[in-house]
Amino acid sequence: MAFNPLFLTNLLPRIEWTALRDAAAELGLATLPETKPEITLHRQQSRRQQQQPPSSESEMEETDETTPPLLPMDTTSSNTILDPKDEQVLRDLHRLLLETQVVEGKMVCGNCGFEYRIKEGIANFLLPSHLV
Amino acid sequence: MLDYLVRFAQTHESFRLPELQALASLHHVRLQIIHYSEYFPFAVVRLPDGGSIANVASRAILVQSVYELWGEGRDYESLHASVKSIAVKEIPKYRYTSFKFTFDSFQGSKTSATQCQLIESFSWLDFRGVISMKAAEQSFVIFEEYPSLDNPADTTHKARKFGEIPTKLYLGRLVGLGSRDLINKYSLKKRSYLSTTSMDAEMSLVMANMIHARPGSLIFDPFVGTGSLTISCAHFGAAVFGSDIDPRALRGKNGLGLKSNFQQYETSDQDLGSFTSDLVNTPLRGWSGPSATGNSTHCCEWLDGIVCDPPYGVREGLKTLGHRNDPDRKIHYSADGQALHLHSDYIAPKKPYSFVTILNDLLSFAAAVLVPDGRLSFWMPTADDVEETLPIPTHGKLELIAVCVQPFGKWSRRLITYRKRHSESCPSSPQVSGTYEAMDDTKAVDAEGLESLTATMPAGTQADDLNPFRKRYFEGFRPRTTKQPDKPELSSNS
Repeated sequence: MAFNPLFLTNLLPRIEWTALRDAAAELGLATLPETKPEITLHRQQSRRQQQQPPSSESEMEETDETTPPLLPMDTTSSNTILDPKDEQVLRDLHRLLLETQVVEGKMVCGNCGFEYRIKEGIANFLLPSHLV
Repeated sequence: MLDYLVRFAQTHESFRLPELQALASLHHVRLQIIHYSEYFPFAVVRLPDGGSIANVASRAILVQSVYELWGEGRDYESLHASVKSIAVKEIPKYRYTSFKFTFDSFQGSKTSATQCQLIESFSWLDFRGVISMKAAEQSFVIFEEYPSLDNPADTTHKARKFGEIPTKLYLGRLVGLGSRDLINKYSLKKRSYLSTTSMDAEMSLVMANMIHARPGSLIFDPFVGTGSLTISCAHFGAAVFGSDIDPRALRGKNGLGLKSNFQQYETSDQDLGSFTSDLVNTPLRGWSGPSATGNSTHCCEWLDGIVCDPPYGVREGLKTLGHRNDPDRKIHYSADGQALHLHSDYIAPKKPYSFVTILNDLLSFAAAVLVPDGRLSFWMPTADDVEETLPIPTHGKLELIAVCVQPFGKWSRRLITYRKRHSESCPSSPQVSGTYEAMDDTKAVDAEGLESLTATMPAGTQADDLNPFRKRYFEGFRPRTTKQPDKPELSSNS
């Protein structure tokens, strides 16, 4: 997947950070900061005014304050402003979440120890009948 | 401000307005329907707060094109009068641009000589630009609506000969196009990896619109199969992933599989992959974590959309994990004493499952993981002739937005779409009035609806007992003489 800051900033608040760090560490990929960073994506002013009608613009501005940012229709990486430090975090996240795949292996349940196999990049979460 | 004329495709009538409204809300545009009839492809809409109808319609599958409405009338005399009063300020804007006039007649037609004559009658508009049929900057269309033969309420066609005199006329200036060309691009006929249950391109693209698939959003299909639905969502820029109880569908064979479908449409970037899982025992869940307000029981919601076509047991069996005849849940061992489930090629047993129950599971899942305003859209089959039609499932955290029906003769399927409510407006108080206007007949019934649904939950272990629709399907939807819904009287044939 191409680096997509919009997707990553939308995803960031939804990530269970400790779990992701632990999983990354187990795979030997420990590049994530200890606490979850807060990154917001700013759209370039000029473009925004060109593309959005005034009424919906004011609506989006308001909701941006309180709720997770609304997903704009026309934002691509080309017209967003991103702090270089934030960009590095997003690039690390991109590498871990979108460019890292376990092709063969297993996941072990931290609770009961059941092993879920991964074959050809497809994890198998089916349980035997005595466990369902 | 002028109203707009929407030129729909005359197909999938009950999906047309819900799709347009879903796209209006995606673009944060308020859309009012001024005039609409399922018997005609022409609708008049208004954007009271402004906004661009061209943007709204640009990805609509059931819209051919949209027009600025310059006038309407019962006959040409009143159409001219209407244009003179409504569009008088617009006319000078296009005085020197290249232009063309064309006809769009529905259920009738005129000879080209007559059409020319009628176009000439608009010469008073005094357009002085070049007339260009191929590369006009402005395209004007005269719409003629002839009496509908399908509409039982319309008796005017009996008095007039078919297709002779139009009953409604419009003049419009083209401002935008829909996306009907995508139906051809994503046609199943050209797709390399398919199964018997692949969803046709038109409907799966409409579903992507219903759930607001868009750049930056995350969409999941729990019955992904060959990926027909997630492929449509990926087209609109969403990141997608799916699961299926059958890993064979995900892997495919001979190099063709779910992945190769995304490669075919060059949307592999949007494909986050897939895993083998049963919705009933899904590993996906909402997680509890610290919230901004310091409330420690805050549940994190993380999916923007769920889209699926659950198996209803006709072409694809409806199964869940477990053993049909194993109430004790024993561990099974092979002859050498090793537990079977530890073998690397172990295949977990599956048993038939009830369609009603799986819908309940689906709604609970969606309620737990969808972000506020996130959407769920899925198909539900129903036999047209039976009283025991499944009720539309409801959930306190999900607001019913649209029910669209696609008829197939003796049965039909319904596309049902919900929107996740904001947490402050749910779930303890069931009587929530959302900001969206739910369709009149589909006001959510919440707690009551859930109860009635539970009451009709079928019991048993055979597919026929669990799934009344499947049973009726294989009975050929034959009318019943007596009401004995639980006796499989035709089981000897099946």
